Amino acid sequence: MIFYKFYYRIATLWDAAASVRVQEGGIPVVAPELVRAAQAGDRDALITLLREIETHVYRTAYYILNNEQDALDASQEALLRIYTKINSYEEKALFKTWVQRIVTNICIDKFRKARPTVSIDEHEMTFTANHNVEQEIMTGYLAKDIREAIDKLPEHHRSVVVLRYLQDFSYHEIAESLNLPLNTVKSYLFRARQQLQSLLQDYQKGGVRG
Amino acid sequence: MNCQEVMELMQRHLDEDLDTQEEMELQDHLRHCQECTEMFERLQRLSQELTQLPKVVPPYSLVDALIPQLGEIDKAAAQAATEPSIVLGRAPHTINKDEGQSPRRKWTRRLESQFSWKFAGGVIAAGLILGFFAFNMKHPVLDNADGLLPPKASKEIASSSTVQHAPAAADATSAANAKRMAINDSPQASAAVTTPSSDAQQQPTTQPAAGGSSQAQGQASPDATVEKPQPLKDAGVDASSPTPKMAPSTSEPARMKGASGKASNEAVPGPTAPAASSPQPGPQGSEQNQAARIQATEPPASSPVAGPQEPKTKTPNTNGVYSLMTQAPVPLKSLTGTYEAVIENHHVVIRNSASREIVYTSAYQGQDSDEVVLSAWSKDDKLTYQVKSGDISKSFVIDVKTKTESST
Repeated sequence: MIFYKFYYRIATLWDAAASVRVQEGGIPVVAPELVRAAQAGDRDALITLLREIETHVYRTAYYILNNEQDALDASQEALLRIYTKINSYEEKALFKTWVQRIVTNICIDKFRKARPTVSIDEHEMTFTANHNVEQEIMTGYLAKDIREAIDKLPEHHRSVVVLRYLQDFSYHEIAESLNLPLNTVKSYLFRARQQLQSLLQDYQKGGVRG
Repeated sequence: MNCQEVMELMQRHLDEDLDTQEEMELQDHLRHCQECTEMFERLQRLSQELTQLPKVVPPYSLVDALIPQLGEIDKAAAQAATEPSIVLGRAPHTINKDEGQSPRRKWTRRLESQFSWKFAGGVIAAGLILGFFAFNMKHPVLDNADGLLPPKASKEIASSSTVQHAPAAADATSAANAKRMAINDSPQASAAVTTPSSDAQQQPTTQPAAGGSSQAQGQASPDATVEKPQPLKDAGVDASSPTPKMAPSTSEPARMKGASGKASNEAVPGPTAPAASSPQPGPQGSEQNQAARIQATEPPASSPVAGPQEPKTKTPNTNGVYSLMTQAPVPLKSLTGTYEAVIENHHVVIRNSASREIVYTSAYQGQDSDEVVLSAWSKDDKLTYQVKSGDISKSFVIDVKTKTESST
């Protein structure tokens, strides 16, 4: 409980301070020249391109599917599709939204099949954030709750949340990725957050976090 | 401003979507609404936690793992691109990406999503087992069935009408044989069928089919000069190939099972069986004859009917019966390839290889006990042959060009 209060205070302060959001989750802008080279048949450029996006593809798949193995399968499928369909990308859309559209589509397809049992190695995730140890333990627990809560969301709500928070996409970019109207994206995101906070409140009351 | 509207402001605040005016309205409301303030705090915390979700990275490089697959795709694409790129005059890579591979990927994915591999494996295993039965018995029933599937409705009618006639032919011994055979077969056929439901369909359809087949035999036999008991048995089963057609409700695997089940207790068709019905289609039983003819092409070259279709055989291919009798002698080709010599009725007959006209027939009149042996062709188209009569052996030389024969 003390830990939680401590974390809560830090989080609130941090949030207040971070009026400019940290952009660590977003896809770095892939150079259009690289995309063009890849489209022109430069295989090395295409491979480089895939290397640049593979982590982002995986991250989306991981949080939509909530399962490492499924995420690996889905991301490989997405990368293969990007490799073979690079020429179907048109510059009127952002490359990153095109990529995310492919991976979310694949994930939603997979998601519609019977979902496998919960993975055993839930805690063996790779962390790249450099928090201190105490915070990391807390983040781990919280992250687990949040992931469970996200897992309960309907597929499109989940995709919106993942693109918003894991890819740091704007409303517009989410709309482009999921091929949804802007208002629908907003309504999905708002409803998803309300549902998540309500779920997490339940976890809190159940003493899971305290 | 009510709390519902404020909720949207709070949400948009989290996404930094508020302008200054809206921000002030939100703060105003929060200042005097405890409930909204608490909700706002929870939402902010949630948003913060979401932002801080672990930035997971793949445990290994996905691209590295994919490189071999990418190479294969490139290879396949290069092959697919060679022709279309010439025809369409488009850049090869365009074809690679858009037309060469994506259908393949799509196909695979669709397969993955709609079928479980367990199911597919089961189907494949069943197919292998059926294939084993079908091919192990060297029985062409399956091929017959395939060949008969395309025919139009008229054929269907023909087949059903022959079934109706079948009882009339039942008093013939051949018909009785075939029918008995079919009845004997059917329990075993159903034993080979795994699904009990298809048993019921299998048994009744087998018997009429066998009846029809017996008629086929009856009609075919007038054309045939050679007739053995064995053909009855074979024809009985061969002509049962219409069976699947008459039971359209039976699923494909069940039909195959039925066919292979019957095949399993049949011996390899006797070599004369196809010949019996194949040369000229019977006036009415054309379908059965067709079935038999299709089948006739199936057995190994030892089958007499295969003779006419084999380019190297010297016998006339207009008459199947004739070919049947003259199959045995091996023709001796001249060194120039122009002529072929063959022994027929103790005469040496020389034919033109191309036109198959008889060029010369040897004049020597031997006895039935004499053995005529073709020795060799010389380079100038002279054929040497020997006649052994008891201990005496005589040599003859035929000059084809002058059409003369001399003994040496």
